[in-house]
Amino acid sequence: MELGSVMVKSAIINSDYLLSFPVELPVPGKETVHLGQRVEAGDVIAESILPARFQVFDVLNQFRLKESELEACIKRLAGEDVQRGDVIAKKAGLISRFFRAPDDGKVVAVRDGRVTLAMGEKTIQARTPIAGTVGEIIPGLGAVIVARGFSMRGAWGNGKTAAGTLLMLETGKESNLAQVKDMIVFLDGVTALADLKSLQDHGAAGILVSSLDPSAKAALEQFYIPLMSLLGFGEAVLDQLSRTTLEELRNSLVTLVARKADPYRDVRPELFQPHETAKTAELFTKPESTLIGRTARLLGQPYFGSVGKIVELPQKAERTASGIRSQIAVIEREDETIIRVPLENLEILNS
Amino acid sequence: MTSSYLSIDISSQNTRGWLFDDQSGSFEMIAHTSAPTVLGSDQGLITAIDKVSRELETKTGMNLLSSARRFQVETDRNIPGLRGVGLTMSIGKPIRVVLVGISEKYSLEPLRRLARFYNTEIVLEISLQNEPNISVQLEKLTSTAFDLLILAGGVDGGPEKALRAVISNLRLLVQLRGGASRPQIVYIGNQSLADYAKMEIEAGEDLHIGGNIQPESGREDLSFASKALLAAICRLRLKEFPELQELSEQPNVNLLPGEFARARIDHWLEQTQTNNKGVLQIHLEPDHAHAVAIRDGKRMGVWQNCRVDEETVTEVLVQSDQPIERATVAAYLANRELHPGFVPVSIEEMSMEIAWMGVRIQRLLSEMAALYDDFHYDGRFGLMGDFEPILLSGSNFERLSSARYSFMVAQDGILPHGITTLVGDDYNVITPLGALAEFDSLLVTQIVDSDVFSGLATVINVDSPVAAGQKVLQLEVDEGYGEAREHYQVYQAELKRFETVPGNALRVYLAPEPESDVGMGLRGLGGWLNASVSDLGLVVDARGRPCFLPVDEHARQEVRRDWLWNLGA
Repeated sequence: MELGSVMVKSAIINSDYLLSFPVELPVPGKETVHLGQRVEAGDVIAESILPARFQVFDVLNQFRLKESELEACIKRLAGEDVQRGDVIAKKAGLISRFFRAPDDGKVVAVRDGRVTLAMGEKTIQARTPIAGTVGEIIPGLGAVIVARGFSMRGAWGNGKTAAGTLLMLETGKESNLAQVKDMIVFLDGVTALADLKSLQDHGAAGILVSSLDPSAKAALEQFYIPLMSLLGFGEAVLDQLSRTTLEELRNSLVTLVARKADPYRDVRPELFQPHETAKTAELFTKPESTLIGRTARLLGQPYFGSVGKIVELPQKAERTASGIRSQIAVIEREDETIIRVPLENLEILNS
Repeated sequence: MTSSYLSIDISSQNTRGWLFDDQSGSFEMIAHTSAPTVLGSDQGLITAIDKVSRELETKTGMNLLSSARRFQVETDRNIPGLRGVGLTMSIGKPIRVVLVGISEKYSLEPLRRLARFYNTEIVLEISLQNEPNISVQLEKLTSTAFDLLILAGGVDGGPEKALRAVISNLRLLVQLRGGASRPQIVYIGNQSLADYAKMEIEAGEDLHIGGNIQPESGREDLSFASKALLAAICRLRLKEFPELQELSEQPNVNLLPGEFARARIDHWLEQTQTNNKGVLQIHLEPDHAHAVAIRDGKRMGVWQNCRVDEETVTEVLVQSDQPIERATVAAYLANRELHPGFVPVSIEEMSMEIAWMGVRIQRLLSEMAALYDDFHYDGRFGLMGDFEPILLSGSNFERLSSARYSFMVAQDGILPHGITTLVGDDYNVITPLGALAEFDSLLVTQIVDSDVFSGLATVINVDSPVAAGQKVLQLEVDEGYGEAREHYQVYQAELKRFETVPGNALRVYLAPEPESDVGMGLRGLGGWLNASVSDLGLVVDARGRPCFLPVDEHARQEVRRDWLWNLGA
């Protein structure tokens, strides 16, 4: 029986999890860390120093020269540093013509009668938003930072990361807004866009929600603070185990790695707490090698977000109400009802 | 001696393997298998390749992959064994592309067509006519993150000054980037500057020189750039998945993008058929869609990555045949992106899934029409050109529960005109054939002839200006049982199906009304038509272009359900 699609996905809640976080420059540069190096949040992992601007001067055409006259005309060679006002090329004559460096810089090329100057410097840096160890160097671009700790994986993130103290907030209470500054705020239920904006405006470091309103997706992607949904979009109820876990993390320092999900690479946004803590570790047993008996969270309506135990894995594929044949799992839900769910429509809750 | 060929296709969700041999005297597909593709670990793709190879070994008893993970290719033709391996990929991040050309119309437009065939994202375009400032060009190039640059050099012997300046800039860019993160550069066009570009840029194997895509004034042939672009794309993919490097360097192993392999077979099909029509292929995967249209030897194609926006939600809602709230559709589509393997379970979910697939095809073909003037498609009026067969492939089609769903998705998405045949590539065999074609030309011919494709339906699309409910066509159906012939009428806004019985093709006389066009060349012109045996048989689509649909939402959904019902429960 093919269980691959479920088995390859990491569990939602992991007490001992190795977070891999690539930190990369948008344009090639040079990595500034080495393999195995310990880094803190905010450390520079790679940087690219680019000329702030270029000037290409076509000596041949601008000075109307013959090719044979070119060599005598160009006064600087490729690689030479130049100061503002330095003569780069000169055409002698009754009234001499000059091409002077418009700023401090360097002659980077002299080819085909054209002189290219690079002036000024602009530095682009890639900083790690999480503390950890350099686990892999990405040549010319950055590194993969790894950190071990507790992780609760989400479904959707807006691509941002921040750290702060976890605050459990009741929705709709104006008085709560005073507490949110620099906090990672958790809100249960489907949170309205206006409430999320209000939290952002009041200085929250990041926002964690059970579910999001799908009609606001485009606006949510534009949030400048990290935003992560545990279940995804639409009506859904967060399971008790996830709630208890969040309660355990209340008032402790967490990192909201609200990176964008890539389901094909099993990359998900996550709420992360570096270092294994006693109170989270004891919640979970050792990883199981079989799916039977494990707690699964269900995708799709009408059970979206609810959990149950896998009690049976029939060998044969079954036809669902839609007509599609699929390998299924028999699930015993918390209310003791038994349902049959395609394997692809469930996620293993804990490791 | 028996010759065997192995092909492995890696897509985001599944890795598939096929084994062909000619033991029976002609080539046959003797086994196929699939395994989930696992990314995120160093050996991810190798694990999937290993798994499908082992499964094929178990099924056939052949040795395909050694313990050192080398394909067991037998080069001695006197010994039976594996002669070649095709490795295709439809996986990886979109390749960020910069296009540089002399003019918008004659350089950038063809370059867009060239690049968009593959999984690319155009991040910068420089028209040398609009941006003659060399300094600004250089600044744009150095501050843009990209993987591939395609430079069109214009006509042979054409203007050189601006091009030489760009080439000098590229030299500088290559030096600034350094070896490890150097982009791939493809130079096409003006052949008098090709050697200059090679010497000046000094990018070694990262520079690829192609022919001129406009060999004569007014004639465009993108195939002249194919080889160079293909080489650049393969290098980029091997950089992204270095674990494949060793396998791909083995002799008789052919690495290709899956979309290129498919187009190669579509091209071959178009060349070998005698109906003077084009070939269209729609390939749907959870994360992307790809269309290839071949017409008069010209290849058109476009890759589209999946995206869900508010417009998608509206379109899916309009095309769904169930009463579903907008919020439900929005949540389903948003979550579907996050869980591409999700199986629609309920009738409502299936309705949204089917509607979404149709919408994706419409968007794909609209994008192709925007790129190619010769491809006439409009989301409301459908596909104007003659294409037969229309091939349907990819895991989205593969997992649909019945032929009528595949038919409705394709028919609603494409809205073809005239007479055509819809064909399902159930084993997704077009991709491996494209990858193996150059090893043995008989392989493709014999596999295609071996009924490996499943006929979905022969479709007569009736185009008539009359109102809904009026007669548009009369059919005389000869089911092959002696003299008896059945007569049927088809009315505007109807979808009617005539089953075929295995082993017995339908012979049908079409007698259209004077104002009806059934694809026989003129309005009112009819004639005999043979409909081969297929899953659905012969379908007459007189739903109109655009389809006649009630304004009322519930009535519209009911009509859609009726159409599906007419295809058989």
